[in-house]
Amino acid sequence: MRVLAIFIAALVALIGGCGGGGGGGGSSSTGTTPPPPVPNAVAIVVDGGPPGLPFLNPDVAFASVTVCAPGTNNCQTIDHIAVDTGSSGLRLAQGVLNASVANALTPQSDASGNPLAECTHFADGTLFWGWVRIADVNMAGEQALSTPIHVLGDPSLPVLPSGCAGKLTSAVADLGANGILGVGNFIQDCGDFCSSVPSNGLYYTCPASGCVRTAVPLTQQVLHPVARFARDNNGVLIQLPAVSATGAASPTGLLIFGIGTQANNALGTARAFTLDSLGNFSILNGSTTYIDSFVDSGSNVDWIPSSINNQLCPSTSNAAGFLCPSPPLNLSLTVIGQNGNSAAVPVNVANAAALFTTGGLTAFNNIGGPNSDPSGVALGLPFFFGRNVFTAIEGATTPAGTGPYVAF
Amino acid sequence: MAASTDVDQKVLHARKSVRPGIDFTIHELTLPSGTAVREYVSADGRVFAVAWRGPTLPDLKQIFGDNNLQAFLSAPAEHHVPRKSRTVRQPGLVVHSAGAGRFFTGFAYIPSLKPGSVREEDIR
Repeated sequence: MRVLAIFIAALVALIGGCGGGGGGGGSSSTGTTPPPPVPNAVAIVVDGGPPGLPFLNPDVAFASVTVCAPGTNNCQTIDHIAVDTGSSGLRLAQGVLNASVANALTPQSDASGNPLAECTHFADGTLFWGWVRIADVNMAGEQALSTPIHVLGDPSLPVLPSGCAGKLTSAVADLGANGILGVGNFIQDCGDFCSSVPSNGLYYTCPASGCVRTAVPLTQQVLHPVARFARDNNGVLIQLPAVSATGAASPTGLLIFGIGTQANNALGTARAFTLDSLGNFSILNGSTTYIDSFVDSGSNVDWIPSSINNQLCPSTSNAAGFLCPSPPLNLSLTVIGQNGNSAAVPVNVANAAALFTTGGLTAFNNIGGPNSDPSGVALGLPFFFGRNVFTAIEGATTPAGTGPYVAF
Repeated sequence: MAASTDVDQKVLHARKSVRPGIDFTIHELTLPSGTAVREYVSADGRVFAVAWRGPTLPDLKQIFGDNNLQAFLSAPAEHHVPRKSRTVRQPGLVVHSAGAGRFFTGFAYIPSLKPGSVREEDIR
């Protein structure tokens, strides 16, 4: 660890020394003069997924991310990274990094110098298995220097440990994206549990003898890149245009870094809804309260529990897995934050099979899926169209108070 | 489901409390992450259901058993929208699993082992 700390210190010094001409260092500001604003927005597009995908992946917002070997200009810009406010950290699909960059990323290692790998579980049994690598992650004018990321499916990965059981997923075709940019409410993907409990089941240290479970300090876990920025680091704003009830073809919007830090990310009329320790707030539908509710740009549907609707599309249709309610749902929901703030949210769910019959459409504000959790309504990307949705990072200071919260 | 709540407690490094009932007993395991796992044991001592809720997904291989996990992973899902929610409803196994980020919740049971007096909504 000491070696690593010295290495990072040297790296920072090196970058600082090189920064004079490029304007990236920002180390010359003195006294009370604030640093000049940097470009803090990247384009997002809801276009159905990367070229060559064997299926259309509707309602996923994609951004491009530049990944560099730490402290170098050995960089690669990767398009079609799914923007996910339901997770934290950058994860790259198998094979999207070119060999030059892939081989130059610094392995994240433990105190004994053994490389770290991570096994990430999802509710549906999917699991990601990949190395933790250190990269500079650049978006717009922002830099997340020396940031741990998750690189899936590298050929050099050891055999999957027996405790890491599930449906192994790493290919672009299975992710429906070239990677996932987790810009959620938490700084680390795991947090205190993984820094204090060696049997956490997420992080593994991998000496030649094989991978075993290990605790990993907070700063070495896979990290929210935005929390690593020098400024505009208290959260993100996702801006997507309104779309018609019949769908839209490849609308574009912005992923803006920071909340209330520049002219383009002011809260305006948006209000903050704070979250419980699991990241949830409540949603009221009629007289029923759903306590496991959340906002998640990485869900490509609004998740509707069966107590509201359970009319699945036919399994033989082009919308198998989505909801096909008849008549369409026109819900008047109320979001209630832990802080008592509430807001009325209309949510519509139409027949997905009918919506998908028009070719070329990739964005819908009214597609739903069945929530397996009877106690939750989850608002996915359909909720984001025509709204400013802010996601504040835990512990971060913002004009609407300290994160974590969601504001809209 | 799992073979033994005692084995699960040991393997999962969990604390356990037991709530006796008439047709079944709930063994509640608290994992080091804080996730609560409830194992439902029928009068003849068999685990017929599990439910979980908390910041980490429990080791499904441990709490389901290998065969049930494989059935969960390979069964045609009722929906194919990925990763954040999955329901499997087969004659031999029912699983509901959902969540994102640091929130996971779900329940699973073996219909043929579930006492008739237990409703699905009792398993939480």
